[in-house]
Amino acid sequence: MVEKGIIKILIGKLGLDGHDRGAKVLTSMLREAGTEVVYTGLYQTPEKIVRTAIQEDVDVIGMSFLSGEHMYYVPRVMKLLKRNNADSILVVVGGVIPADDIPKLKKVGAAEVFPADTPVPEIINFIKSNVHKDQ
Amino acid sequence: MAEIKKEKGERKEEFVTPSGIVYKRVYGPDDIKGIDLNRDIGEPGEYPYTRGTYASMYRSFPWMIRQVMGFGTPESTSERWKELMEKGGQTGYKKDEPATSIVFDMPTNYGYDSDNPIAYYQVGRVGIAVDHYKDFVSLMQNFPMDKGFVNMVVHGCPAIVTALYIAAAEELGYSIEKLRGSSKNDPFQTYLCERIQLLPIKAEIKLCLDLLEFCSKKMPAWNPISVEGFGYRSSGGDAIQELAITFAQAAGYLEGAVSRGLNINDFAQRISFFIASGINLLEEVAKYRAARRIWAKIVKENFGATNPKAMLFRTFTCTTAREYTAQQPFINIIRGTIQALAAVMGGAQAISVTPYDEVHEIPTMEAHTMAIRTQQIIAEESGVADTVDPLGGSYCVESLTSEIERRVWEYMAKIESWAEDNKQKYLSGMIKGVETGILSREIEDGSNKRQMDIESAKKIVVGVNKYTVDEKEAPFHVFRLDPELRRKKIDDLKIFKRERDNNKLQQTLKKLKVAAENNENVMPALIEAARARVTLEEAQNVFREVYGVADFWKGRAVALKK
Repeated sequence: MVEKGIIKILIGKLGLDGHDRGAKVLTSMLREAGTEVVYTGLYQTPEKIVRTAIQEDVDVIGMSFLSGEHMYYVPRVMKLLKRNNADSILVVVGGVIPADDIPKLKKVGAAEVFPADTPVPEIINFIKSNVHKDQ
Repeated sequence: MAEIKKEKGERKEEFVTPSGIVYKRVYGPDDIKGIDLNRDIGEPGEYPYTRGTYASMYRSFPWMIRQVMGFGTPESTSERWKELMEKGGQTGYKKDEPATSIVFDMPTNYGYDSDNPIAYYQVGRVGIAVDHYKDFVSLMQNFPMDKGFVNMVVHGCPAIVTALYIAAAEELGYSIEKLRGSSKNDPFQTYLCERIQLLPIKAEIKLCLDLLEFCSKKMPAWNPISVEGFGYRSSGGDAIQELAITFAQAAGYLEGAVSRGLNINDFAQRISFFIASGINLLEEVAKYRAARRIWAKIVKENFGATNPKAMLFRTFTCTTAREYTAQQPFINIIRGTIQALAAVMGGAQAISVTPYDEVHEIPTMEAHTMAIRTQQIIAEESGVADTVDPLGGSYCVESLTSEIERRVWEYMAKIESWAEDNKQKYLSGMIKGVETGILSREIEDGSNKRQMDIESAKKIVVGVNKYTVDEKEAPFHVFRLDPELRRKKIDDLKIFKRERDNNKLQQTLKKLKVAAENNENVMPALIEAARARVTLEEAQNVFREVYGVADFWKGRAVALKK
């Protein structure tokens, strides 16, 4: 159960990709900013991410990609969220994402895409302004 | 000389290198007082090699322009290699000797075949997809395997991948003692930075040493380990951590090899390195100089080597994309140039300038070409390659060299202090550092600190927290992997498997299992299996069965049965 006012965020990496520096730094800084973060670690599947997100009752899912698989995994995660009536969760994506792919990711439902080196305050502000809270 | 007071009105309270060494206002003779000209600096090509691995360095032969490359199938990688050569890249030490640094896709690094469902979208995405020995036959059939240099930057499964390479070389008619190149084969770095933790660390080290031992006896022109420090910079470490952990790893492998009865004066000649080149020019040049001196001392004093060739620090380097930005990507060309300059003035043996678009995708030919031209201009026009160790004797650089060396020994002593085995201090110290997670945490702390420094503008990154622009569109086109390549690779694999003598294959797999279970050197059995058309995943499954999987994978789907 999410405490009133505290945003809960799931950060995870999908597929065979061990480049977790960004995800870890972000996790650390999001916690400093007063949010609650569930860091799922590496090698997640879409099913696992969505299941964990629902179990943990998160407000935000953040996925980090550095090996080119964002166009494969993000649509699958979005589909599963919808199927499970969990699509009010705010979904953001980050990492090594070609600029051309950003509109495509947004089209399938990612609220925002943060390329590498996006200042963390920008990410935090976006989340705070756009998260759907429980009524 | 009296302590020089800070001038009024300097831009900052303190000027520091990225690893935290304070830059003095100006350096002078006082700063090099403790340095002995002969003992510490000496001549290039002579112990302790501070000034250069070889006496005349680039005056005799250039560094290898060895761009890191690979994607899709062996055919598409071979094509890319040819294109890079047309631009003057992928050069060995001698004219017309093609060299290259190959990276592999994630499935290959994780020990999966291209047709495993877990691998699907990542086949050939970030490197070449290799499933069996014929892939190397396809790749290498147009290139000499006994000239030039093939550096295989293989993280996971290096013993298997090298066995596949050897089987391919045999089919193409080479005798293996002539093969020239290297296998990265560095389980500590793979565990800590790539986070590719397939088998338990001790099993990975065992296989690493098997490859080292096999090569030292049968492949004298091959470098069976390329100890990697590069990844530590990408993961958040600084230059001190990079060198300290690299050398602790390397010393650990030396200890392991010596405990198998190998002679330090023989096998150590073929230990090579792979470090990063960063943008803080003076620190990076000093880092190279300190690295040569430290390694020479380790091999001579800690291990008692008497062969000068065993003491040489020979290194490949990539300029570090950790310092590149996704914002205003073309300015990464400038960063790559300064980093490459550091590598040349530092004295690297082979250089890959990370292309400017690496922060967005794997590189296009345009970006690679820019990287190659960077090196060519430095070589032909800048003059820095025309004399050896051009910054040697600079008060600043000599002072930094000594300071870096001091800090690296300090960090290495820390790793040594974790040792549980007095005979193998570095090996057991590193194993402890990995198993307890201490090293991972220290490197992560570096990432966090850097991010805080950028957020607080203590550290300036042009395009990120200063001189930013509002970017609406991508200014260039990125590389797009042709999905056909993935389909083709999977189809080829199906055909390959159909055309096998399954009985013969099963026999070789049994032999491999027995060798592993009996703690024998697995390389001969691996090569036999490679000849019998084993796939990477099938070989890795034998190891998974015998050694178990790393803790990381317990409870996760490892390999789905087909």
